[in-house]
Amino acid sequence: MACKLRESDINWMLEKHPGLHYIYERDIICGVFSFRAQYGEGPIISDHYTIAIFCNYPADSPLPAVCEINGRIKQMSLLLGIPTADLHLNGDGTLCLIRPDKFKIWYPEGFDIRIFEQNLVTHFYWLSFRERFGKEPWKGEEHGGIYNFD
Amino acid sequence: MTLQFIKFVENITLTDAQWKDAKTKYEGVCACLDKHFYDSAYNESHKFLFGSYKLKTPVRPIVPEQDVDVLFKIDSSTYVKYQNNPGGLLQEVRKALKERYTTTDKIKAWGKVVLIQFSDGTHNVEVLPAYERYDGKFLIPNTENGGSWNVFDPRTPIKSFQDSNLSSNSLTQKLTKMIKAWKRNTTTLEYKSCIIAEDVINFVNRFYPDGADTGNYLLVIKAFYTYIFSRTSSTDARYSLINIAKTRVDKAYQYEEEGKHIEASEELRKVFGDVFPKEEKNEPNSLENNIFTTAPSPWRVN
Repeated sequence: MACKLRESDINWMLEKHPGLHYIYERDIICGVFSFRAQYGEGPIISDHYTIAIFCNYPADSPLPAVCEINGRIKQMSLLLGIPTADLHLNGDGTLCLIRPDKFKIWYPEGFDIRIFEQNLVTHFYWLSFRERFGKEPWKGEEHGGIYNFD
Repeated sequence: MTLQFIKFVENITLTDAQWKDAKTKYEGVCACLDKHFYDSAYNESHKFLFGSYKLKTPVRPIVPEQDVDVLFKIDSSTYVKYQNNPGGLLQEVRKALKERYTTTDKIKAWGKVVLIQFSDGTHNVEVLPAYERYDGKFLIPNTENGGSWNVFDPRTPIKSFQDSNLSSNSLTQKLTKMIKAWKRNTTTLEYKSCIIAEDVINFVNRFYPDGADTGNYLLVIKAFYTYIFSRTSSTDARYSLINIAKTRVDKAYQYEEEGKHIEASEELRKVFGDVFPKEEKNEPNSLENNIFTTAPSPWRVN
């Protein structure tokens, strides 16, 4: 089950994040994804990542593939001395945004651009927190699981 | 913050007049030794500059502790003469310099060096008489523990630094100066210049081998502190000082992300001192604060 973003999804994302733009020929949203977020009573973190969202990703995934294209996560892994996998970066360079077997919990009605955007914010909050404070703001899921679309 | 960093680097870089003054002083010292040991006029090939003046990393403002390190090459007959009396060579150097310099300048000889302290307190020259070996390394006299000749290899670290600096488009040099400014502003910090240079080389070669735009210098500084902090043991005397600097730089980054340039520059001034310029105005952005208590995976939030 591949994911294809609709025009309305793309427009919503571009409006929400003016640092992003859409490349029609390649069907990619890319640019600067800025956020200001706070987990519970934790610190507010403002940060940005340069990303590419593949709007029509053929792989068997209900979410669009997202890559961080400035090498910041790889640099983070070297700086902190931890594997990129522990910063939830897949082997192909895409972000591991969700544990497949938890997809239904967080996307009960299937893909939703608003949930997806929040997914990205919390993902990057976690990374920036890990970088800044040297620890996880909350315990990350272990790797594994497969998608279940039933 | 691009302009602030350009100005910051400018503020800590020696002026042309200061370079000229330093050059006049160390060349004057070497000219005096040329006259004494070779009975000739100043011969540039007899001197070998090393340390921060060779790497072009001394920082402003100039303080008396900032010495120009220079090797003065002796010939084989002088080496043979003092082979069994290394301390005698230092004394001869001292004596030769005493004849040239006024009583207001102080000349001291100890350990491996002769120090010429100028009356204006700037660019004091630390001269090491040295015999150059066939392999490019030097033998230098050491008066400690009864006297000996030690092998000294300044060329290898200089080459490492210059290679890194060349490929990184001067980032190695600029970052070294910034970290030195931090050291100067953190009086209790023990961080030798040669170790700073070594840490910066390793960091730049690994993370910014091709350099970085001035617009990214805050990110570079942030990464550097994360780098050294993650590699410093909690038992290391520098640990808490690095942590303080890292926290301030992280804060500055956070402010900058929010367009709070004034607050960002204030945090950086706490790290680097007044040499970091103040920002004049903010450009707050309109990012809404996204407060969440659960995360839509892959993260588990209880």
